[in-house]
Amino acid sequence: MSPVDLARNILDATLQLGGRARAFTPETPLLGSIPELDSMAVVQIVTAIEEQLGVTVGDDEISADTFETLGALARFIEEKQG
Amino acid sequence: MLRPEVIEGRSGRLLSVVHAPGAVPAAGAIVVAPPFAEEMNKSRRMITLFAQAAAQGGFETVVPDLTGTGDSDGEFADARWDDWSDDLERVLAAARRRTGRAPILLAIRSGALLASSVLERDPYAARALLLWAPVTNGDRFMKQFLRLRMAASLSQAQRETVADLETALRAGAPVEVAGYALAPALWTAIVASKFAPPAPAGGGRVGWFEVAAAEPYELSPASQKSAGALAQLGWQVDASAIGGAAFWGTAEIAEVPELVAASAAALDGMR
Repeated sequence: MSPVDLARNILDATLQLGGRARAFTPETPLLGSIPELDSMAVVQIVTAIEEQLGVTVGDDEISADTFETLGALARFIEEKQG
Repeated sequence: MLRPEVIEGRSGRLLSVVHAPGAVPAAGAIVVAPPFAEEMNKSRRMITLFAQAAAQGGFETVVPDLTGTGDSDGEFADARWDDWSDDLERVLAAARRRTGRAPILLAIRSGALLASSVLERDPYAARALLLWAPVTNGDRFMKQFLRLRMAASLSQAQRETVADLETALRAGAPVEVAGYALAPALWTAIVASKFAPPAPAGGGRVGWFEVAAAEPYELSPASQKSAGALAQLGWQVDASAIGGAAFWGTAEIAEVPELVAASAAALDGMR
């Protein structure tokens, strides 16, 4: 699964978007644009990434930039996949 | 059929809600080891759905409010890990007296850590385990909990890190996270706890269910390791991952019907 697809799946399941995330492009804005994306959801997404990839995400790796767009989140996933 | 049950805890009244089947006596009792803080509120819908399915199979489900939570006595800020294991032991013992057999424990998230500590003290306290997305490492769990506060300050210039919050707790200062006052003593005890039950006293069946947000639906590496360790000890472990929302943390109350169905099916092997 590509990082973009994984980002879509994780977003859709975590925010319960009911398939809406399938239409997201890398340019789709996230933080501030999707009401469901609150602080709890950010933590859930980071946790889902940790558990799906079997990696640990450090404090300093989580920033608002990571959640700016779908593409930014996918890049983050790609980096963590190594 | 719902009925409240009140028992005496060591520092106040403990309230449980019992979902009873129509037929009396019940085929057995299932006691819920609740998840932590807001995760419990988010899980209540799933617990009710499960309890209804279990009732059809003749089981009663006991959902306790631990000391300092829900309608039981005490304040969350004063609650201690020891109180909670003691609460769970008392609720298990009461269910056992009522049904004449050791209950099945349904441990949700960090409830698994609590279940583990109860079984360490008394391996006979429960006859089987159902685990929902069990937390196996208290330290990692607390870091994820503290992250909630960090996430709230994501867009601010002055960002708190999890490490800052841990330093405060280590120095003895309570930290408020998402409306819950986390006491240093509670934090210390959870950080030190691991999911590592002793060898089973009886048949020892375990239904281990993980909820995966995205495909592939597989057990996480950490869960595979813990489930393997349980099997080594003689537990009969049936572990699987189910696709669905992480209902204990979603913004809206979420349901994972497949988890309810799979858990109810697992009960048949635990009669």
